[in-house]
Parts: sequence; structure tokens; C-alpha cells
Amino acid sequence: MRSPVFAFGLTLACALAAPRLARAGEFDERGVFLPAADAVAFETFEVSPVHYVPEGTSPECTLEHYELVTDKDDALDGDSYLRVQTTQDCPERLPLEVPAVKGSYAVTLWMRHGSADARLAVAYPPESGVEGVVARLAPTGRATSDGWIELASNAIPVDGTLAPTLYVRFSDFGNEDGADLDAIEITADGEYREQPACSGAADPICGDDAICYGGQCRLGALSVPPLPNDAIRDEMVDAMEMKLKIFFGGRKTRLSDLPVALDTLDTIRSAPTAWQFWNGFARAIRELHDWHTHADGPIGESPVAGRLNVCFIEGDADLTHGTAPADATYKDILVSHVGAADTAGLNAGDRLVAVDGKHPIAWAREQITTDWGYHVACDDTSFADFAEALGGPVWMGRSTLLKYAKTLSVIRCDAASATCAGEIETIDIADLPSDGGGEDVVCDNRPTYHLGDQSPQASNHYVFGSFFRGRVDGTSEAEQIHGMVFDTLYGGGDPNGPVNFAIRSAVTDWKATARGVIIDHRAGNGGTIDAPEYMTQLVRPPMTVAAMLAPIDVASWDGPESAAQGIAAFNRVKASQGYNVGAVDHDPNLPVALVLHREGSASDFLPQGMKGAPKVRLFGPGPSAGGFSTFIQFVYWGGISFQFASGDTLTNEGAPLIGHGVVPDEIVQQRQSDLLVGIDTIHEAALAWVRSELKP
Amino acid sequence: MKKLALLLTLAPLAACQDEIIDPFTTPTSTTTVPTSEPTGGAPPASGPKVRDVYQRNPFGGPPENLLADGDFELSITRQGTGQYGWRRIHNGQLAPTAAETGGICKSGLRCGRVPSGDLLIATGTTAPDEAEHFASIWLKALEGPPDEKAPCELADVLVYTCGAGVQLEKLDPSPLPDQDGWCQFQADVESSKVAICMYVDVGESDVLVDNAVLVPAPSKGQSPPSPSPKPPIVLRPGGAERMAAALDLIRRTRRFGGPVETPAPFDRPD
Repeated sequence: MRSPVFAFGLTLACALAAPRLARAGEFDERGVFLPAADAVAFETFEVSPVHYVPEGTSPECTLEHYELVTDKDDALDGDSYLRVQTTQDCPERLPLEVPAVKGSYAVTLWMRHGSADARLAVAYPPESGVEGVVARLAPTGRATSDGWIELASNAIPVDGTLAPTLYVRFSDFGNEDGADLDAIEITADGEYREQPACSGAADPICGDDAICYGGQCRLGALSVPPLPNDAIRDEMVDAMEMKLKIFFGGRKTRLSDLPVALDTLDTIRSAPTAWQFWNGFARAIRELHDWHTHADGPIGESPVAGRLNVCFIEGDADLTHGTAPADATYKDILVSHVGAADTAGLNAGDRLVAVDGKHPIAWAREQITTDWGYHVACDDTSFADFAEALGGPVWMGRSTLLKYAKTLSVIRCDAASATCAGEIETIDIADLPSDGGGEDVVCDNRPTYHLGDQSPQASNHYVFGSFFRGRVDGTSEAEQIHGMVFDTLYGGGDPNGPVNFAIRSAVTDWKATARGVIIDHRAGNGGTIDAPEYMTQLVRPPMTVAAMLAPIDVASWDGPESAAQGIAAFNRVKASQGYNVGAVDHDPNLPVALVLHREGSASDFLPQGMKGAPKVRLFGPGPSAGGFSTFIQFVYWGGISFQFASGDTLTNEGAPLIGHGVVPDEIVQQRQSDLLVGIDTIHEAALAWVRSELKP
Repeated sequence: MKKLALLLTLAPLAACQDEIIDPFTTPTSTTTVPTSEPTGGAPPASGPKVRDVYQRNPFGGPPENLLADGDFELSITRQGTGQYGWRRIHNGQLAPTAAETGGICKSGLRCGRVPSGDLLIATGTTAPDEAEHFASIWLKALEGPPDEKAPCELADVLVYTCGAGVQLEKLDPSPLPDQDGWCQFQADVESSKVAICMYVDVGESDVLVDNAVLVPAPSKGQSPPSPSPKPPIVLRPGGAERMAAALDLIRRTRRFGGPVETPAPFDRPD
């Protein structure tokens, strides 16, 4: 049984003739909701609505997840409303009708209890060849005394001539009894907008209020909440600003980066559009220049054309500096490893000289304006995160090149002859096919593995939360050189959990049997502090090397201004928040090489805690991220969430660590000439040292 | 420079002093403003008023709050293991915080809905310049209070040092609920050199929780030396053990890193 959907065709025709800003309905003096006079559609739930199930929906999601509740005093209008109770994977979909013309519409709805993921979606028949679009809903700030709050979308373009299905997709959470829903209202809002194909983030074809993402213009407003109205906008900006001032960061990031972000935040008070407001907010978060800090939004969920199944790392392009000199600021960018298909013909050892005519790292840093996946180290001299994110799977949030680049400039090399082309080739991202085949290869900064049949799969590099341990390739039984590959340090406070158990077992075994150890942590994703503490028990006596004042100890504290202040703060919290490394029964004679490339947070603490131990040597191309803090998370509506770092770590000498990555004892760059013939330069340097120091 | 910033921060509170006797006992988290006039062309209203309509800041407030999300606006999620401003512990494990909305809440657009026996922990920090603090939170019994003689004895609410877990103050509930059924818990809190967090151990009634604030109380300046030891804080039976276990859980699982989950290819149905 279909509920009344009031279509105001004549009004719509007028609206199309003279586009205007959408204006949702209001309340009469009693507090009864009245739809806007020019509403295109209004769902009042007087009878049970249509339950829309797209093709391909799993059987368990075809059931109705709602009931009609009749209570005139409780309903926003009319006599009844809908109570919705969905599961996470089975949203409810409620179709609405719009005229069979090209138009642009916004939706408002009212909900009560819990929370919801609410979207306005437009799906086109497959034969149309037109991709569907989705707009997210978020609060406008309007609320009622009996618990209703208004959610709204920005305008979404709808080509009604293609017989689309337009529906509200609603998924409740945060209340075990479900959420109430009433008064869904569609209003005309502006003119129909094409979202054409595009190339490169700066493609002007998309206009000021859209970005070119993955080869397609994406209206920014579809992925952000509405522009806050004048009554609450300053309050919202004040709230954001004060959260940052009070809680964000440590000494380096507060002094260097926070002022930049606050300046940007101030500009959004006068932002004219929703996209400029919310992208400005997200840009301010990105400008905090912190490994733990980011704003997330639905724009990163948009599909991306093509596939580039390739991973890149920083290195030394020793074979091709004659063709393209090294940059004065940034290291060379090399192909580390590739997948089985969709590689653009690139192979390990090839060089990525430029992206859109700029050094790849310089180009990646420029994406701060629009890239909601922007990820940066706290240490101003560490760029390994950018290099790693150039390639890799989109589903991991990577592949900046596919999302935002127009052209790649590469130098191809030949492994058989160990030579490279004398010219630079330009690849147009739009020309990259997506033929499929092979696994999506993950970028972990490891060109190869060295643990024989105990190694991770070379076809996909899926290390993730696993530990791989074994004898190192090319070593003898007598040498007993053992290795481990891992990226997580999430011990979670459980000594017998999988991570801590793996580390503690390895430490015990190595003490008993190894004459040398190579710990390969080249994509260190951090975790909890217990895991690096356990690892350091292999190599040094007990001590408290640092204290974590995180989250921030004192509101708006910029950190110690002198070593004496720092030592005082260290002493104040070391008993409860110390980074306690080492063990009495460590092995002072076992050489341990820690191989690094890109690591942050607990994975900063690991080298920090290992460095300086008598038989430890750190190998890597540059400093770690310097993310010596924890973070606070915030989840808003409409798919928007953000988190930022809070606090700092002070050494026992009073030095604040955030923004200062751990510098390897031996700086080693991956050489292009080695990559071309399958040699892992950094590993080989570590192995050579371990061999020279074998435990008797 | 810091003092100037603090004064500027507190200016909105100071501006309320004409209307409120003690601005630190009834902080206003968010502005509530009436919405515009009803839409023209609507039929004339008749019958009793059914609801009020107003505008609220979806980010909550007050901005100078030393609790990261005192107003429960940015901690409501499907998953409960993130390091949000408010964290709920249910049966010894982190769990998502359920929510109510709009005018059901004390302030803002959302508030926490917490079952009997659960624990809440709010991330906070301490005031600059070793200023004293004022702490407050509002609770409301979802059904009649279990003890009608003490209708606001709904929970043990404390502020404590986030790192070492030292209990600083227990917040006192008002004797009676306000006209909407809300009970305010409040306390003056001494100055601290380390971060301060808030802890709620919900009693025998399911409750709504909202509008928690920890703000500097600059008028009181730095704390003078305490003349005598404070009386011990008394919690409900088992409360000390529950609190110790909860703080240990938070400490052990404090995150220094990226996502825990192994990523998986996402599909984007709509």
C-alpha cells in the first residue's frame, strides 16, 4: 500500500523556470509540521510506505525493517510516523517520486531516538549507462521539544527523463528500539548539473564546487552536510576551534602547524557554500600536519576509474639521474613492486619522475586542498607516507595517483640488461585500463621478502595484522640469523593476545636460538604501547625512556619550553604513563637490526625504544613519522568524522618528541640499480651488519 | 598571552552573569533559538500546542569545555571501540553509546542513553595556569527513580586524574530533579598539574546523560594548600573495583597508531 506522496507538478514547473534555494517546511503555532508550499514530494506516513529493494539485495535484507506507528500527538504531522529498525548491512529504502524532467532536489526528514546514516540516492536503470549519485543527510540544527531533529541533504541532480529510482536510504543505530522517521520532504533546489568525466584534480571542467576524483567530477556538496545557517555557524566554528586549541597536538605541531589550521578554520565562517565550509574544515584538519590527524568523508568512497596495480617507494634512482636529475628536496620515487595485471607496463626499478609535471611528493603535498585521504607525517622531513600512498588499492584509501593525477612521467628500465631508457615517457591516467586479473597489491615498502616459505605472499604483500617469522634467506644453519616481518603493534593490553604473544614468543625463541635477528617493520602502523615494550625486552636492560602525556595533559599547553620543564613533566607522569623498555634478562650479545621505512606512533616508539641499545642498529631511508601521541576521535553525521592527535611524549631528558621522527643509525636508500635486479638494498645492509656482529 | 586567551575564552560565560547568579553552576552548552515564522499559506492552527521548535548547535558546547565531547554530540557511533570523547563500558568491555535526540536531551541534538550498571568515561584535560575547575553533568532517570526519597541518586560521578586514576572529587547530585526530570551533579574541583577525566557509574536506573562540563573557574584562582586531608570519597559497593577495572581497560587499550582492522575491499551499493 503506497502512502500519499504529494507531487506539486505546477509548482515544480515554476521552480524549474526560476531556480531558487530550497526551503523546507515549517511548523505552525501549535508545533505541527507543514510542508513547504512548493515541495515536490512529501511523505507523511499516513499509510505504510513502499519498501524498495534494489536488484541483487541479499535475501535477509528484503524484509521490511519498519512499522507504522499511529499517534497523532507524537507524529510531526498527520496521525502517524514510521519506526525504523535496521541492521547495519540492511538499510531501509523508501522511494519518492520526482517529475520526469532534469532537475535538482534536496531532501529533509525528521528523525528521533538514536542516530542514523541517512542518504538520498538516485539509481538509474542499467541500460541508461548513467552512474547513480548519493547525497548524505546531516542535521540542520532544528529540533523539537519532543525529540525530533531535522536532517537535510544538499541538492542532488536527477535526470528524471531516464526513469530513475529516487529513494531515501535510512539505517538507524544508537538505540536498540530503532529510530522514528517522519515528514520526508523533497524540494527543488537549483538546476540540474552534469558530472562529466575529467582528468586531474585541477580540471576546471568540474567548477568551483566540485572536484575531479577518479576521473569523474564529483559535486562536493553531495558528500558534506548542509551549510550551517547563520544562527549556529559561528557557534559550530567556535566549537571546532576550541577543541583544537585545547586538545590538539604536542609542542612541534602546536607551535608550527596549529596556527595555520586555525587561520583556515576562521575563513569558513564566511564560506558561501556547504562544500567550501566543510572542505575548509577538513583542510584545516589536514593542515595540522599530523600522522594521527585526519577528517574523513564520503567523497573518498566514490568509485575510481582505471587501476594502477603498482607500489612506489622513496629511493635513489642511481641509473637515471642523467635523464632526470635528483630533486633538491625530495628523494627519487621508484617502483617497488607490482601486481600481476593493470600495471601500466611498469616494473620494479622503473622511476616515477613526475606527476602532472611536478615531483611526485611535491604533487602529493599539493593535494591538501581537496584530498580527504591526505596523510602526512608529523616530522617535516618524512615523506614516506606520501610515496606509499601514491599506489596501492583504492579500497585501502590509497592510490592518490588514480584519484587525482592527470599524467605520470616515468622512466622505464630493463631488468635483463640492467639499463634504463634515456627518455621520459608520459602516461595519461585516463588511458589506464582496468582489465582485472591478479590480486590488488599492497604497498608495504618491501620490494621483496627474505623468509623463504615463511614469507608473506609476494603476489599481494598482505601483511596487515599478521606476523611472519623464519630463518633469513641466504644464511647458513650455522649463522642462525632469524627474521620477522610485521606491521602491527596492536597488543591491546593483553599479554597473551595474538600480537603480544607473537612478539613475546619471538623474543623467547631468539634469545634461545638466534645469533642474529632482522626485524622488518617497514610499514609500521602503530598500535598500543605494550607491544613495542615487549620487543625491547630482547635488547636492553629496564628503564623508563619516555613518558606519554597523551591525551594532552594541560589544556592548550604548548609543551615544555626548557629541558628542566620537560624533565619535571616527565617525572610527574612517568609512574603511570611511562614508556618502560627492556628487561633484566635481555640478551646483550645478540645483534638485532631493525629495518624501517614508513612507521608512525607505536611504530615510532619501537625504534625509539630500540635505538641506543648495545647491539641494536636501525636501518632505513629517513626518520620515522614522529607521531608520538595518541588521538581523540569525533564522529559527526553524514559520514563525516575526524580525529586529531592529542598530547606529546617527553624523553627522560625532557625533550618533546612529537614531530621528531627516529633517525636510523644507518641511512640507506633503496637503489634503483638494485631494485632492477631484485636486490633489497636496505635488507642487504642490515644483513651485512648482523653477519659482522653474530653472537658467539 | 595565555591569560589573554583564557579571558577571551571565558568571555561568553562572563556575558551571562547578568542573568545567572553563578555562571559556573548552570552552564549553557548551546544556544537555543526559536526558528522562523511558520510557512505562509498553512491552515490556521487550532488545538493545544504539541511541541516547541528551536535551533541547536550540532557540535554541542560550551566551546571552552575541558571535556572533549561533554555534550555527547560527537561520540555516537555504531562501533564502540574508538577513542571518542565519551566511552561506554558494558560488562567490562567497550561498547557503543546509545543516544536520544533533540528536546529529549538537556542540550544540543544528542545525549547518551545508558543502561543501569554501565560505566562512562569522558576524555578531558586540566585547566591552564593551575586554575580550579567547576564540573557538572546532568542525568535523568528514564523510568521512575529507584529511590523516591533520593530521586537524584542515579549514579556515582567522579572526576579523576586521567593517567594515574586518582579520584579528585565526587560530584553531588541536586536534591530534586528540575521540572523536566533532570538532576544536576556538580562539584568544585581543585587545580591539577595533570589531565582530568570524568567517570560515571550508573546506578539502578537506566538514565539519560548530557551536558557534562569541566571548565576553569578563574575567579577562584590557584588552589591554596589544603588545610586538612579531604574526606575519602565513598562509592557504592563494588564501585572502586569497577572504576579500577575500567581505567585499566582504557589505559591498556590506548591507541598509538592507525586502524586495528584489516581493511577489506569496500562495495558502494548506494
